Amino acid sequence: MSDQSAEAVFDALGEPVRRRILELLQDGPTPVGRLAERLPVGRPAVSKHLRVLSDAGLIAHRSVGTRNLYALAPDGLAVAQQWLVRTWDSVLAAYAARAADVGRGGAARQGAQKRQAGQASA
Amino acid sequence: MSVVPPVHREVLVDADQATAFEVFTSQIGMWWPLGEHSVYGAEASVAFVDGNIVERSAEGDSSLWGTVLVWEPPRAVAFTWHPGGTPDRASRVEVTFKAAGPKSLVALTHTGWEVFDDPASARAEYDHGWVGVLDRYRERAGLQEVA
Repeated sequence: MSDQSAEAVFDALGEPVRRRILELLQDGPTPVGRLAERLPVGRPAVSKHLRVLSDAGLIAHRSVGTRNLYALAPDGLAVAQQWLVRTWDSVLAAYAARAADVGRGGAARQGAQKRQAGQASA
Repeated sequence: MSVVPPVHREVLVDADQATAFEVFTSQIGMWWPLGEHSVYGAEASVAFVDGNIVERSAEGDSSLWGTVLVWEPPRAVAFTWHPGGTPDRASRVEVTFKAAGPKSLVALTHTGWEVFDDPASARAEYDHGWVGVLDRYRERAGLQEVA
């Protein structure tokens, strides 16, 4: 997941009505009208939110006969969560390396410098 | 209830609790991988400044990543989180620091993807504040007085 699509996903998730749509879709594929009934915004706003969620890869649209259904994209949220986990792990690894350096007071580095100086003069 | 469950990660750090807290906060600019995760890229800087986490570009532009909610050295820090976004779309990060012998166990929890079960509270949230809720209370109080 690139940083660009991650931004789209978190922008999509950042809006409470869109999170409510994702929650409603956990029950399964749902027609737009049924979603709109259960949301505190008008139909045009619902369509706009559905477009944002679809562009972010979080939901998918299906036509079943004449019915216009939306469903959670199979891996949409899992991908977002995995990206978060990997990102924080890499950030925390960088943090831990720095904290260890500071925690050890740079003593290991001083020791290495002394050894190098000793070898150069030998 | 949340469509994206909280993300919880932990790391054991080779430093005492006070150092662990200080490095995470006061020294964030010394370790945050800006080349991988930033608004302005590797040449920028980031720091906790006056209760905010701010990234500055080499040209002097700034981007607010978040605002401190909890500041309890050496135990805990928490902040809103919206790098590259706006405060109304913020999630929340909490970091705790626990002594573990000579080392520290540092735990990071990223939350804020909650959904509101009650449609009325979802409406209030959508209205961005209490004004809408108070109006409705006033309406109802008005009707009761007439009756």
